Amino acid sequence: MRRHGYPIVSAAPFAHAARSTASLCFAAAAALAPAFAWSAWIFGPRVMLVAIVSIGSALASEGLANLLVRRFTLGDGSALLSGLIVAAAMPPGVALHVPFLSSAFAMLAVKWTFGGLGGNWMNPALAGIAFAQVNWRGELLGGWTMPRILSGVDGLSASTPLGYLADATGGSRVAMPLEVLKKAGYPVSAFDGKVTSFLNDHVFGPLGAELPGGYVDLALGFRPGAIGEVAGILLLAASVFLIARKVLRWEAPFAAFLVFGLASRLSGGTDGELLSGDALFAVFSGGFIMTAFFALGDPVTTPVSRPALALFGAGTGALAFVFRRWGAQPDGVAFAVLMMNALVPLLDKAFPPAGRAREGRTR
Amino acid sequence: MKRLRNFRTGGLAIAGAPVRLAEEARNAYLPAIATIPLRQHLGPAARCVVKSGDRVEEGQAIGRAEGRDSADVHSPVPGVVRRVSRVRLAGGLECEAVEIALSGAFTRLGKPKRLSPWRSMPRHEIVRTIRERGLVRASDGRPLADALSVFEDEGPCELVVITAVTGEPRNPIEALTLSRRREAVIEGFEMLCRVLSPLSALAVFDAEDLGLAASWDGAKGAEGPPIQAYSVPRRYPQHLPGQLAAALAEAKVTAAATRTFFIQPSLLAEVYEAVAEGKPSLERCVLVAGGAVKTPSVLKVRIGTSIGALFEECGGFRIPPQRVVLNGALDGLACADLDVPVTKTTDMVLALTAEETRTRPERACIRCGACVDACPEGLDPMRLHKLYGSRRLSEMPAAGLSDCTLCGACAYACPSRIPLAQSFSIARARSPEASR
Ligand code: SF4
Ligand code: SF4
Repeated sequence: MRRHGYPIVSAAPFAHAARSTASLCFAAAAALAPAFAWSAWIFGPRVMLVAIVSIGSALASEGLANLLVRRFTLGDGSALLSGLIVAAAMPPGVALHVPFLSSAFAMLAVKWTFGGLGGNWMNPALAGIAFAQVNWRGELLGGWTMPRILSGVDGLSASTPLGYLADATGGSRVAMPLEVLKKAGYPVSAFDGKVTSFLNDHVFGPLGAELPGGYVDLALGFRPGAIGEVAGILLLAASVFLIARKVLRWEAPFAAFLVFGLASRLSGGTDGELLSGDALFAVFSGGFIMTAFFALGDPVTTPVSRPALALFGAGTGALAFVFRRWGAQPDGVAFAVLMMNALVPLLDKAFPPAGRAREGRTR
Repeated sequence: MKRLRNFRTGGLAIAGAPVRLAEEARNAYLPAIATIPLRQHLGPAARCVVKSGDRVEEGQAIGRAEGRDSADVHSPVPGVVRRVSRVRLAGGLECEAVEIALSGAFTRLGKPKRLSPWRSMPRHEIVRTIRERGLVRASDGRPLADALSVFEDEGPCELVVITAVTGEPRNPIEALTLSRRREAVIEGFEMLCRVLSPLSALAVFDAEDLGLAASWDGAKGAEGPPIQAYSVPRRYPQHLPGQLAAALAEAKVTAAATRTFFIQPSLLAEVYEAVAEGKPSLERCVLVAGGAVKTPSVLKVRIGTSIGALFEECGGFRIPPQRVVLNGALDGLACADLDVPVTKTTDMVLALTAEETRTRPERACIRCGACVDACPEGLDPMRLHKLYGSRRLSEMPAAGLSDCTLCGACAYACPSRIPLAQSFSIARARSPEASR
């Protein structure tokens, strides 16, 4: 008779929420696209080459691992996202073997030795970035280039504000990093000047404050920096969007910002003067925004419950501050997250995800 | 009319407007051949008391209850027994079934009703009548007579709760029963009160049916306490007795340990028909809906009609359904084909499209916590599933499996499409101590 043969799946539910693991990964990857496009405009087309190499390597490694374990996970979008995050931390002029090997290391050594997505305890992309920072310091340092808008040409070598600052001040820390950079001849774009004076005339002036030059460049990415990390404003916008769509969870990034920003503000200058630090500079330079949202928002390598997430974020913020201030790398935020990753089981145990309602119910 | 709040944690806000329907249930065509399963209840299948070639009347018993939680089965149509065969029910269970070819005259359908003077019946007489008419509670498949006597044995009833809240928010059947068959529901309620003598009674409505709730507030029959109306926000799985009891306790309407009997309005109407009119359980009001159905409707259907016939009566499929489901997309049962017959516990047949099921490949757990947030019992489904995966079933009850209602909210929310609720029901079946 009417045997249509619908597949029988034994148990309910037969309807599901709209979001899937793949849609979450693709949404996060898509939100990063504007930052990459912006970066390609600032630094030139080589940015895209680095991104393609990094993503291609991540996808190929994932595919290879899939073949080995005979489980096909390329479609879940997580490899694409990891490749993008590794690329985001690369200097525009970096030698191509660096992103290639870093992404491969992230996928094969960090993710698949633990059984692929969900099994890894360490954030693969950040492990890849740390791997690059440890192995190819020279390549990374030589890869920074000046934005075209500042230099007028493609691929002019430069050093990042953080690296420059370290050189200019001989490693000691200063209260007004942008002042130091300016005195040392660090370029400021004409656009920055215009916007800053506009803001001072119409916003800060009436409030009795004054914005020094350079912050606009810093937020917009008119300065040497990593591909995906320079345009802090775009990253913030992408993150707000992803948090609003509940793709990323807000607790850990929020706590990280709070602790990192406060710590940078509280302890600034060499003279040990309190409240003299430059939190804005600290947040916008280096990979802090990128890491705070995209690594602390990764559910696999972070705790589950809200208090544990907040603690995780606070710990990352504190470690990131310590590493940046006293560490060997100008920007140690990736290492901060990796160290906190190791504490996740502990945090999960201390603040279990559920059990809130169970005590309250009498049955 | 008072408002209740939802449970404290978890639950799902399920989108989707209620199906717009004609005012009343439409009578479906009678099946030329009715396939009547002998197991339409929780307990063992009824014993077949007819053989092929027998002529049966409408409402004649064709199966007799065998043991606990088993119920009598009656022929929904007059006709001749074609054969006694086997049929696959929704969810994959197979059982014995009687096939009856329709012929001869109806003794009940379209005839004037003879009302029996039930008010002079003692309570055990009412329970016996309910038992003989084979009434089954659709929510859990328990024969109503068994549910009543077990409940009575354990102590006096303090509260009767009439639940107009449904698990599938689109299901209008309870609301329709309450608005169109008010007298039958009230009289059925009086009969129930004769049996249980509750101290108080209330009815819980979906907060989106406030007009209906207001019309029932203070409703009263000649017997039993007046019915107070309460409304509760629409949130899955608010319809479960445990959740309703928690909401009532939270609002301090009742103490948490109040002995409460939960019953749906449609069953009260059936009680009325069984006791006053002597009518056995022969037909059901069934919502035929889902994105694949051309014209969703509520049909009045004889038991034993195939669900395929119901879809045909609703104009057939707009597009081929991805899945056909009985009694709700979240806690229902899948149908392997369209020959599955309507039984005493069927109140909904859904033909779901791919956009509605949103099936995706199963992926690894990403520890996102969506399942934890969705669980109305405050459990950690992620941890339960981990125990299940590492074959540590004996640890599951203590980890919360005993409190799990198998509502499926966790699996609905899981972005990795891990069949959490399915694992939990298998674990339940394997370790009996996990079930309460
Ligand atoms: S099925 Fe069980 S674990 Fe899952 S949400 Fe429902 S009660 Fe919680
Ligand atoms: S919802 Fe699914 S993926 Fe998320 S934590 Fe629960 S089981 Fe894991």
